[in-house]
Amino acid sequence: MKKSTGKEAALFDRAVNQFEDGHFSRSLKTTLSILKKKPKHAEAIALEGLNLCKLNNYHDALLRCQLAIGLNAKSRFCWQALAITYRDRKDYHSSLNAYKNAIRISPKNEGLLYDAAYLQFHLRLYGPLVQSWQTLVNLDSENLEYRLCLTLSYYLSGSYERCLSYCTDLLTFPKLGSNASSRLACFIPNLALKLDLHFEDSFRIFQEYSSFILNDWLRYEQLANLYFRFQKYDEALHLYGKLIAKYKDRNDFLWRYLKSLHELIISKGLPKQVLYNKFRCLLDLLPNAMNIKIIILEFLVIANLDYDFFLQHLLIYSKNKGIPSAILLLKSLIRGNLLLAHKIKDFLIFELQNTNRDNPTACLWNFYYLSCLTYFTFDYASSLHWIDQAISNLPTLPDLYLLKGKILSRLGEWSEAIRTLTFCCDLDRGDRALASRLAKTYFYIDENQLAYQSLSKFCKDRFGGVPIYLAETECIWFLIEDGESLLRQQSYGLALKRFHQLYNIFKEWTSISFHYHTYCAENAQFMQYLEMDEWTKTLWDSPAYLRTALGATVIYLKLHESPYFKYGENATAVYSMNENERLQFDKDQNQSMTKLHLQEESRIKKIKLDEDEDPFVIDPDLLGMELLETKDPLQEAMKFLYPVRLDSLKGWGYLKVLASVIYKSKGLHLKTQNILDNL
Amino acid sequence: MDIRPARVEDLVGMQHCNLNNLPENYQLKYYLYHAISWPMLSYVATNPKGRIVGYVLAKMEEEPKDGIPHGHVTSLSVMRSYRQLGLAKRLMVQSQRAMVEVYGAKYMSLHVRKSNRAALHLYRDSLTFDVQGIESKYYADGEDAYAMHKDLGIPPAENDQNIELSNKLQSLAVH
Repeated sequence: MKKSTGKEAALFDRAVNQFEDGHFSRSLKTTLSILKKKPKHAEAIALEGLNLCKLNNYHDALLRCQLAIGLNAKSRFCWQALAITYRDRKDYHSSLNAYKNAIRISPKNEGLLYDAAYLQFHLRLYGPLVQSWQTLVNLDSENLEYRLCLTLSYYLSGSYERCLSYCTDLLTFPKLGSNASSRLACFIPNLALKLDLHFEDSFRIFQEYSSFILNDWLRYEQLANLYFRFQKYDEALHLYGKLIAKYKDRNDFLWRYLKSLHELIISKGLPKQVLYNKFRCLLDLLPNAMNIKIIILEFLVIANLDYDFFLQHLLIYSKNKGIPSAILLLKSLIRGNLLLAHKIKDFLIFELQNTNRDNPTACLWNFYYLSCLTYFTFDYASSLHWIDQAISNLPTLPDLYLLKGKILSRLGEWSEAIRTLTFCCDLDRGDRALASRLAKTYFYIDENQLAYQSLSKFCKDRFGGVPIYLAETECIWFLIEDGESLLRQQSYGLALKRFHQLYNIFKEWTSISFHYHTYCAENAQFMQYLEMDEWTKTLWDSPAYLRTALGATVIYLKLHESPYFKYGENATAVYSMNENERLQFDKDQNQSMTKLHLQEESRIKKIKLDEDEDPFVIDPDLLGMELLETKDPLQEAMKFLYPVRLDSLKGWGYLKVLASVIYKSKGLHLKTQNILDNL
Repeated sequence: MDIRPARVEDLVGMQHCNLNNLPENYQLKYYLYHAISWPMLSYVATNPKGRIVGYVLAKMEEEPKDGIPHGHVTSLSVMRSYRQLGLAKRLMVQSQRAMVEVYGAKYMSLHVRKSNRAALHLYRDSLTFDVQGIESKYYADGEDAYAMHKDLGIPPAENDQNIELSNKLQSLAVH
């Protein structure tokens, strides 16, 4: 920051140094001593705001910074302070606007341009992003980070040729380390793909830059993928053979290996038997690789080729090894192919009646596989029959009861399902997976307290109990199931609490990427950057979030339609009350909620914490009643809907209809029309 | 099942697997920190539909006290329905290999509950880890942990086996 002159200037410089050293309280004290004598010192006010921001007093921080701007709109320092404050509050758009104003005053300030550029990364403003990095490179062409960021920003803005040119330049840049060079060289094939280059050009580029790739196996993988993409199956096969020998579990290599083999056989006009023989050799070479057996079977089923031998081989192997998931792994194939399902069933029954008759272990797995098979083909009555046979064979294996519990749930026999799953949990009390299944089943029948109880063993104590701990650990499935169950039971306050907790989790996830823009660009981790960018784009369209948005939208729309809705199951009774009765009802409700709150507070205060544990956070709105009292429920609903790409989302018609109703009520006709067009 | 390096899009699935199976849980930012800081060290196992059914979350020790670069396994878990497939071992082997080949690790370490016999069998007997010591009350519920250690490096025999297998796989090509 700029040096000043005079006594106040010396104090100001000291305050700035204290701020930069992270001593925010001291810096604030020094700043306030300046403001005592010069209360309209704009930059001191801005620095006060910055310190307040770092001390988490965002509201006052913003007010002070805005006041500073009001006093001196030509101060770069004041605009920068405002920008940082907005940025720390995660209001990135406002932060960027403030940076732009600061840059107008100091157009060659590298720090400002740099900070603004990272906001542009986060906000996906790729055109301005390229300009920012171009300016920085022009100011300091030897700065490696600037050049890396410019390269990445060319890719993000779709200028792939420029990106390729910068990548190849960077590879010869003296300051670039070998690891970063290797990562850049691995990134180049993506550019060749984007540019839709012919094989010769792609291959030439690969030959020029593959020497920078440190790991030989990555180089083989790149070359194999290149050959495969251009259907050079002979060369691809040799390389994938090498890769599979080292990475036997990589299904992408296996699949391409099989595909290459198949294509070569077709191209040579050889009979299918050659392919089957080759696949048998593969099984012999890797006899214990379950994934290879599955992949071969999948390949043959999808290609409509003869798979009987391979199916039987897989089933016999699985039974001999006692692999519970054998049928589960074929689930999507079975559901798409009834003939396959029949073949599996016929084989298992034949084995049961003939080969395995006197072998109890083999019988057990036959019964279990038959139960799984009929479960996946929706024949729950048969599935139940087979699992009971398995249980009578071995009554102490939890997995059998787990499947039985699921079957009974499908049949709507809830009390039996609960009884079975409880017994299952008792067989292995330390297994959280079994407890989670039991909890889910409790949620399906709206027994929330029992669900919490079944998971309590795996949770730390918190004010508010199990749900609060699971919200803290971002247990999405729990919050959704609990929220939807509470919604069904008309406990709207608590349901909203869960949906808001989910919203905050998703919001936090999208904001954590902000901290990694710098790291990824500096270290030439372009692939990781792109993955992170893609992930944050699709988070809000995930089924988990869409269920959250739907639940919250339903409640807020009803709240908007009727103020009595917040009373839940008592709504009808309250509606028919006179004013005095209603007031008394509200008073009684508040009293009982306060009592619950105090009881919980009293409970939690009795618990002794370890030295390194933070004190319990007391939530003033434990039951979500404040959420129900919102003055603008439609605005609240829109907060949930805003991040969702409703105009391009597939399915979720009900959510779209509700959203269109809300947007129409708010006068957002264009948005409404876009959603309706996508219905 | 596919076992491959974890991508950023896998992190939510890894967290779900962790929350479903283990009492030691982490916020997503911790998974992202691993994935971005040490790409290629964490692996996932996916079912044919692409759902995460197992994972290993690993890192390199940032400031090793002994000055020797080494890896550390933060968390490992496989969904109950997908056990008995050797996924845990295979996830560990892949991560271990990457620690050596990408980051030059000389050894790897992890912690395991004293009462977790299945995990102890995997690490000690199957993967040849040694118990270096006991960390008292390591876990939040007060249970002690074994601190385990394994020297790294791919044995020459495995390299020879891979070469032989590679030659046989390549020879399946039609000429």
